[in-house]
Amino acid sequence: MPVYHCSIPEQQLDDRKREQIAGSVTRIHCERTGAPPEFAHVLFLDATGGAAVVGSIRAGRPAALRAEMAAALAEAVAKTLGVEPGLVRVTLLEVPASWVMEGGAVMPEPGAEAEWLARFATGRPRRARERTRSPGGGD
Amino acid sequence: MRFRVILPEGVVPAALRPELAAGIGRVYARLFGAPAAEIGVDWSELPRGRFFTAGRPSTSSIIAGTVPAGTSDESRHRLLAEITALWCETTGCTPHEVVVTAADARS
Repeated sequence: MPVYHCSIPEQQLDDRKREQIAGSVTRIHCERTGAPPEFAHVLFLDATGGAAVVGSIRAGRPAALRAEMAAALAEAVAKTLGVEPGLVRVTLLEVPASWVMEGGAVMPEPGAEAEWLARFATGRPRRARERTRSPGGGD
Repeated sequence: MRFRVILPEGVVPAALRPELAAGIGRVYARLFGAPAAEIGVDWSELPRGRFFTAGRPSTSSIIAGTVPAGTSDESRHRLLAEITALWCETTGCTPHEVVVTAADARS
């Protein structure tokens, strides 16, 4: 968590664009929420019609932050696709943190991450730790 | 009651799926009293290049289900923990490669 579902027609995408969108979505989410990138999942589904991004994020963040994130996500996806941001529909669904387990622990409520992050920092997979340390890697 | 599993191609061999589905059914039936036969699992395997974690090709599995509205945190978290453990034991993955959700079922 978060999990972002990107429903975009196949003809608008190639592997490079998917990687680029996945990186942008991860960066936008993590920069604004402080979440470790290892918890950000981005999935691509074929779709007819326009491009849409539906993100399931932890409930409890301010509406202004969610609006800012949605606008940034639309702009980033639109830039990669070469379309106007208004043509990318972004929906952020709030999910109670207590409904989700990842890394073997129930997700913390927004604002109560300190203890959880400390536990995560020592318990995360070695390859993730190495990735974060490597130049240009991770986030 | 159905769970949905979303995972990248090649992460969980197809041969393990019946065991995982049966395990989810057993756990859910024991915790919530529903007949195991009524609990199913739908699998969505995404082709390579369509599932990213931390901006890189993913090895994670997402397992999404529901519990009766009003379920206590204790019961919900037991379900989440037991499915995480089942996944790790059966597939050999780490807990960091498992996301389990249990939303309130719509009445």
